[in-house]
Amino acid sequence: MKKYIKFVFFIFLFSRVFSSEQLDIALSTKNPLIPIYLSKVVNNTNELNSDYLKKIYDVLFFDINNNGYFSIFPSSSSKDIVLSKEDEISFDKKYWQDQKIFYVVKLKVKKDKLFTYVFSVKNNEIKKYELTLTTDLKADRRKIHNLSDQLLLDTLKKQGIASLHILYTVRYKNPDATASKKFLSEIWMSDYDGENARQLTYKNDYCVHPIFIPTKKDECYNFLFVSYEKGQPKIFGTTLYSNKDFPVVSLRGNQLLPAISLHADKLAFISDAAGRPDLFLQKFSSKGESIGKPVQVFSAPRATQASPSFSPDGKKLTFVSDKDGSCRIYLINIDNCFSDMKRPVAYLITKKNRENVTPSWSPDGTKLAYSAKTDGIRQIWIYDFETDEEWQLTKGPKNKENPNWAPDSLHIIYNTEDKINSELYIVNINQLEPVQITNGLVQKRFPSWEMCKLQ
Amino acid sequence: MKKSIVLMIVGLGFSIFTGCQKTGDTWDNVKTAGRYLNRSIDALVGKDYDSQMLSAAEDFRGPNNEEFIPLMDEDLKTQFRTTDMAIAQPKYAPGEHGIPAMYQFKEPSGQLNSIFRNMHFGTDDHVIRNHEDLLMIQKISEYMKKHPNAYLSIEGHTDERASAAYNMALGTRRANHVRVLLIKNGVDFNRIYTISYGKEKPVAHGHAEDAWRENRRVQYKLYHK
Repeated sequence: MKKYIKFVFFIFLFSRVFSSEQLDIALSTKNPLIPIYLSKVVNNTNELNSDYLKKIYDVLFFDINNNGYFSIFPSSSSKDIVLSKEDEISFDKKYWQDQKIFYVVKLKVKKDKLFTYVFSVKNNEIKKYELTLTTDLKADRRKIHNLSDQLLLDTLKKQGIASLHILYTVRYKNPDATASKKFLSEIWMSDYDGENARQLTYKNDYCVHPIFIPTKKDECYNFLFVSYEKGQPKIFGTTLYSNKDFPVVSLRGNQLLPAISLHADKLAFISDAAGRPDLFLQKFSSKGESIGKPVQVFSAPRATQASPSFSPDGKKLTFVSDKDGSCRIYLINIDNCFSDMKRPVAYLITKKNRENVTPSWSPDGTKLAYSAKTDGIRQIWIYDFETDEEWQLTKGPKNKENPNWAPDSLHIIYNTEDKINSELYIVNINQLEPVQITNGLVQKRFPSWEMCKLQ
Repeated sequence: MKKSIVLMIVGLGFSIFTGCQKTGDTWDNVKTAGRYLNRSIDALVGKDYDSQMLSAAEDFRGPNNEEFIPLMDEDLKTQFRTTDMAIAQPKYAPGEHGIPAMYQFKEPSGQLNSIFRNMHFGTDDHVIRNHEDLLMIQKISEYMKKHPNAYLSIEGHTDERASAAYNMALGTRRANHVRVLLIKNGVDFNRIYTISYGKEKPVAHGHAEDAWRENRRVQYKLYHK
């Protein structure tokens, strides 16, 4: 009996010491991307400069190849020859079927017009699009983005993100070396691919955390941001084409890290008005004005709260708290918070890693993107509400923070942060290779995706 | 038999050690467990040795309830004497009602620099623990009480390691802790403002513990009316 016990014990000891903590099994998965072929631009009349057409083509190529649904089939001269023989109203269905290509896009320029013919191999249907090129690349880029979103909607009935804007901050050294403010930070806006970037604020001060307001109403602010222009950080609202901004929340102390509900009827933020960095909620009107008093939603002894994010229905909030040790992400129900005056129960929803920050709830409500320290580096993770599983989205050496979902609940934008620089990347959960969309020596951070298309 | 038992115990201990989570996670769990253990023990003996019950709700809420709807949980009313007291921010913002604007606050110079010097914190900590810093807090308090027309801003800063967003919030915690210490030493709470910069304004640009320590700080600015 003793020998048997010893034998069992040493087998147990052997397995504990030499077994790995986690068994990783690689599963082959079906590629969710649909093959599409994009021809080169046919420019028989040479009325438009070929270099310019190449730039236009590159924009469309990027849009289609990164929309999360299509994968552009490698181009080949044989396929381009086939396309050049095919006229605009007929395509060789069998040929493309044999190539296992589901959609074919043919581009043709006549005078200043770009004609786009999209052939659906399965349905044997052709759609035609026409747009006028101005040779102003900034303006034409926008037209191509609109075209690629329309193309996606018409073919797959999916919402595209190419025509949306992103907000972010640019932090840089003050050119005035004698000034007390060594660093400045301003709000910028660009197309989703990082192009057509333009500065929106000229405070010569520190502005952070811009967020688009998800409403199309003309009388509403377009976005909110935090500014240090009054000394303490406060939340301001402004429109895209105005230099004026207005304080949104009338509350003493620091106001930080704003988040707005999808219906634009509630604003969540962090404030030390009560002496601790607590979570507050403020009702919001359709005009972007605060209604009534803000309510203190969450506070805990010895705890720091940060980074709220709303559920799509506006009834729940996720936020960061270190109330139990290191930063974790919690979920609370805020349905009755304007009347309860008691701290709601906080449910821990990120359990795999320790330092979890900057949650962002997907617009379809199914997932949460956040940043978690993984083997010493902050990576973007996804928590799936439906399966209660967490999985790592990004890899690589640089710290990644501030993930923000696009309206399609497929794409995420985030910023890296290393010792010198910060850049913006977009990634979608169907194509796991992130794409860098900014470059340069200044720090780009706190990206926010436009939730509804601006006029 | 005895030898076998000893071997089994040693083997079990080794197995647990090697099978444990990574060192950082284990230490984190120990800290979390410690927090709960401390709270439980305090509750069992029926007192918080470093807490102080306030005599009335108004002492806790102060003038806040004009401006926002506060939480009324009991554990938020229990004021931990030095580490977690919550005192409302000044009623009027800088630049309003005769209060100087923030740009008018300046870094103390000359002799004042030795009193209003930067104070530092441990990693993830918001409590002043250095004895000399605590003595300086008393000197700052005495100065502020002697100069009733002086206004003070306390800037909370962090090192570079945690995320920018969380550091913004942590900075407020550090600034507010020092503010509470000054108020408890008799300084008028309406003359002290807090600003959090998180990790946005480092004074040391290295990427090791000496630079991080320099950046985990509060910094002062003064204004004399």
